[in-house]
Amino acid sequence: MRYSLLTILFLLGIVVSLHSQTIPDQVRLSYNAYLKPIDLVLSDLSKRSGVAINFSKNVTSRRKITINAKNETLGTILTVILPKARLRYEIVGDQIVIMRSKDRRPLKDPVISGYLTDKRTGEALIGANIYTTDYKKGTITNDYGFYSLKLVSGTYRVQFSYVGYKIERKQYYINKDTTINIELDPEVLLNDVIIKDSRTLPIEETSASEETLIADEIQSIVSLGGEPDVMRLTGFLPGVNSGPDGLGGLNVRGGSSDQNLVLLDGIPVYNASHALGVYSIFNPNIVKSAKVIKGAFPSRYGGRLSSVIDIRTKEGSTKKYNGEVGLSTVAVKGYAEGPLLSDKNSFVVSARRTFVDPWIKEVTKYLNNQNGKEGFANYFFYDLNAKMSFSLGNSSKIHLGAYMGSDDFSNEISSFSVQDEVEIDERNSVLWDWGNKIYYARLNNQIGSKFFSNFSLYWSDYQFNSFDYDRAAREDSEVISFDFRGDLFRSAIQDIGLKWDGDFIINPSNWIKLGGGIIQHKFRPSLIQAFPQDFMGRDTDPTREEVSSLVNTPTIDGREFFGYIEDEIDLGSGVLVNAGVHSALIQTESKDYFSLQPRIALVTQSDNLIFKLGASKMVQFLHLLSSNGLGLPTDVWLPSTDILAPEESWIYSGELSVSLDNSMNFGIEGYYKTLDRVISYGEGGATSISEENDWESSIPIGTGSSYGLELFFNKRAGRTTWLSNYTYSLSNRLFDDLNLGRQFPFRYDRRHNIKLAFVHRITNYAQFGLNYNISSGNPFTEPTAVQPRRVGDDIIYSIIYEEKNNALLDNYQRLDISFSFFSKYKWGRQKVSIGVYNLLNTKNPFYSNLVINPNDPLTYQIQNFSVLPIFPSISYSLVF
Amino acid sequence: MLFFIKIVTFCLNWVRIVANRNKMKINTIYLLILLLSATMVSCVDTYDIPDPLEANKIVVECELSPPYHIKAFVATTGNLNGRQQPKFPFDADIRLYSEIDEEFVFKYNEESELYEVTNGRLRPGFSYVIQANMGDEDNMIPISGKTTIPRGAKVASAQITDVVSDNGINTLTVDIELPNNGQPYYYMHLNVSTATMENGERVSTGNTINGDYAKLISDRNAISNIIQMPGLLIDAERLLDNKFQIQLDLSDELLSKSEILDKLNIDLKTVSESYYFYQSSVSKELSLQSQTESSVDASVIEPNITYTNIDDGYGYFGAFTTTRESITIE
Repeated sequence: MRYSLLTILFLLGIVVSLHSQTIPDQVRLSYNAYLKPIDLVLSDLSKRSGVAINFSKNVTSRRKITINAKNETLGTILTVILPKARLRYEIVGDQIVIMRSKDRRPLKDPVISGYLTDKRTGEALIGANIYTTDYKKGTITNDYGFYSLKLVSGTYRVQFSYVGYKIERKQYYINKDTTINIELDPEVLLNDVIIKDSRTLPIEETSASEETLIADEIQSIVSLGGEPDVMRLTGFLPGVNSGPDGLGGLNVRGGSSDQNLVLLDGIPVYNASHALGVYSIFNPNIVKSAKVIKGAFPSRYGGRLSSVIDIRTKEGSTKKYNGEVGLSTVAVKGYAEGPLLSDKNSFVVSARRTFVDPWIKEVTKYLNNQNGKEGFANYFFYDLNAKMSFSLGNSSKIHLGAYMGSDDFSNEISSFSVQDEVEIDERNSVLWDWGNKIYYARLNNQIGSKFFSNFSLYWSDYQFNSFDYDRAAREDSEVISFDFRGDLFRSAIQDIGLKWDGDFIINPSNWIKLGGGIIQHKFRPSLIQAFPQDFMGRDTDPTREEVSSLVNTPTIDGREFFGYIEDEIDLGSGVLVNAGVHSALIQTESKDYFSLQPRIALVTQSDNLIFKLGASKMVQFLHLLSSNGLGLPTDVWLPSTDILAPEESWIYSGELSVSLDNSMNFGIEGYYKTLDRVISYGEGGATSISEENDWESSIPIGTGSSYGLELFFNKRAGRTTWLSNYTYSLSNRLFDDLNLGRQFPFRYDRRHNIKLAFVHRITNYAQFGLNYNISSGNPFTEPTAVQPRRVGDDIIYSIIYEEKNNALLDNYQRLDISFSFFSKYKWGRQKVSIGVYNLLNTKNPFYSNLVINPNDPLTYQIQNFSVLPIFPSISYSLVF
Repeated sequence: MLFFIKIVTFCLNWVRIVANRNKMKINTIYLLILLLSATMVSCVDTYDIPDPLEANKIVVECELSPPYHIKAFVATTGNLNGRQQPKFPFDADIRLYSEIDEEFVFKYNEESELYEVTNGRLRPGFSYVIQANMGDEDNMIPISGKTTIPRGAKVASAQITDVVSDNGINTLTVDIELPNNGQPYYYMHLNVSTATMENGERVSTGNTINGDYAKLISDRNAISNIIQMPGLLIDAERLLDNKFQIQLDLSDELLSKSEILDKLNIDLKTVSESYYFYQSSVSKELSLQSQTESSVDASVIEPNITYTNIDDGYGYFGAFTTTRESITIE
């Protein structure tokens, strides 16, 4: 009986249940709402479905609902939206009654996450867009191609896009955490002739003063000697200056070249240039993307004052073996990538070496012989990048990478002459070599669908050695006199670093990044001048090693601890805020420096108008002792010490830009920057750095400021693309011990600067490129007259320099053009580029120098040095 | 575009034809291109410096020290191109005015080759103005300068705090405290006043102690050893508590082994700002000149900015007042 009763109740239950399903599940409708209060949503649903939905205002909260339903049943819609407000529904007769839910478990929105990769190679795509057209929410992939997007349950059309790739659109019903990995197809098959679709450009920029350069743009720019270069393209951005033709490094918004944080896959690089700045160390074949930040720095970056140049290299194809060989006017290079052991792992290797050394040798030998001298110069550089990536399941990867590169320059000249029966044997030698070695291991972990972790361990070694000596031996019948002068500069840094970075994507409106690390630095700077009295009794040339033995190089250890947290918050209505703090503790031998560096950036976007504001404090542990003159071989990296405190800056920037038809944007950006505790060489001769002398006290410490306006008009998609901009800038320095305590212009203070980098795809097989740059000349210190001075009973003659950097070199102007031709075969494709660098053959001044007139030792002449006049080039590359 | 491609093709063909005609290898053509580029790359243009737009200027170096030291060196600047050399006039009109309207006229002393005032008495704490004119025929702008004679001040304290003997050389540590009178600039000159011989005889040596024998321990760059004079320039504003330390090596050159130091003199000049900066500037200039023999290479070495407090001219107008303190060695 009891069982019969239960059976009856069970059957009744089924009947009731069946009856209750009929009302909401029979009605289908489409409905969209964006952040709408739930009571209004329920009212809408009731009206549209014709089903009475009863609820009390006391029961419903002010919970806002976002939903996008296409031809769904009313029941499905209610099932999606009601749990968000902790509500449920019951069928009472023909009505739906809304009541409180008994379930008190926390609510959880579903998350889609995964990786975006290149379909051909499996290469992760950095900064690719993921956008739900219905929900109108989107995100971008991080530095490892990972994304995470929190949604509410529902059906979505999701668009995946990346510059140079075909847009992928897919529809998903999402009601739980879902992994969606997408492979995007490259837009075209001819390398380097990508016509970018404006819809694939980044949907939003969350950081002010930031530019992302992709491999395609780097390869397209007209290049010197047929060698494309990421740093040269960076030089085409507004607010970025350098010495002529890259010499002297990049100067961003009035900062010096040491104030740029150059990262190779997240690892700091101390010297990022070959040929003293003419080329960067980054072989373009292996560069995947570069991010350049000039202000409003996100908290994850620290350690430099003026800019971040974050370069990411390729991981290599997991699908097939690819290769490229290339030959330009100056270098030969090769590139190979492919799967390693299995299709989950990959390797990539690239190498480059100049091959002009035999010719430089012969040419300089010939020129020296013409001048009655013997000897020759030689120069070469090489770099080697290698990387292996191993997949540890779906969510973890290990990357092992290495970079090695070096420059080597020598110039040895000797001459023999007889004057007034005195035999003069002169020798001059210049030996410079510098380079970096970097080894790193990185472990990426995706933990769940919203957390991404990255551990890095690295070792880096930077060396710069320069040795110049002049030696003259004069011998008559009785006496041998010996004159000698040697300058030895050495700068060496070894770093061991361990750091961790985490991306915690709470939801599309809230993305937290946090991390920290430790860097152990070891510096060995030395700077010494040697004279004959250091080698009394010698009648042979002292060697470099012997001069080196004169200096007891100080070894200075430093430790840097850092941590950061930043939160990128979407406040709605197109307002994004990135706020955070970077903190660092710097330990010197007996002093600790702690800093808290607040950072904030605000971006508001409405239709085509974007407005950005940013402020950040930056602290730099390292100093570069660099001459205000030429500043090349005498540049020495120094750590903070008890006396040399870390450098600091505050940067404020604002930008207003307008997007025109999505591919073009026009805007204006202003900035103001203050610098504190920057250093320089002192006046009155070279500084000596050795264990024995109190070199720290002799280094002037000062402040600086810079401000400027940047106008830009860019088109970065379509058949014709360009970057064009104008910069007006002022940058000053103030040192108690320089320029008699008066303010003076920074040596790279270029008041006006106009740049244009233009690329036009003529046909499917040809491309034209043009660069134009005109800017004010660099300041230099101009002498005005000769002044007699009474010193004791003697009169000496001094050159009068009234003000530091009181004059300008001639304007800098350069026009480059190139034509590139492409062809495709079954086995691969070819590219030939013909270009002319500095087509107008402008003699752009490098620096100006005052020299004694060889014909009249009582008078002076001016020597103007310029580099790289017209330089034709041809390059060839073969991709297979 | 097609036109350009044709031109490029034509040029390449032409190079190939020329190369074939001359039986040149591609390697040689490449070498020629590179040679052409290389010769153009090293662009060094040397040219004569044009005459300056402005006329040459008067150079005056004048020092005042109470009560009677009033001396000036007078010259003119020269052109860098050598077309006008510096001059050393002996008939310049140089005058000194005090704040109480005293006027002194400088006269040229042929022996010292300086302009001097022999009948003036200077007052510490007073301001003075110098004016100089070369006369109409030189077409030079008259110059003027102003300075205030600082009041003298004695060393607040000076004591030997340590003596260390290493390899027969004694090193004395002397702690010095400057007077706290708001005066920022000093020139200090140490010398060995007297020493006692082994036989007990006292001798006056007068040997000067300069940077060769002394290690200076001070706050940031407060003390600098200067080349042209055997003494130290001090910027007291950079010192903490007005104190610094000198470690003196009493080497053979300073004292013979038979001598024992028993008295040090400390001459303290309270100097005007112009004196401080001018002497500092001269020292840097001499340092620079010793390092650059054949050229004034502004590209690698920071040029030395020339100090002057002379309006419309060059040089300096400075003043100092000297006091002496002696330390007796126990």
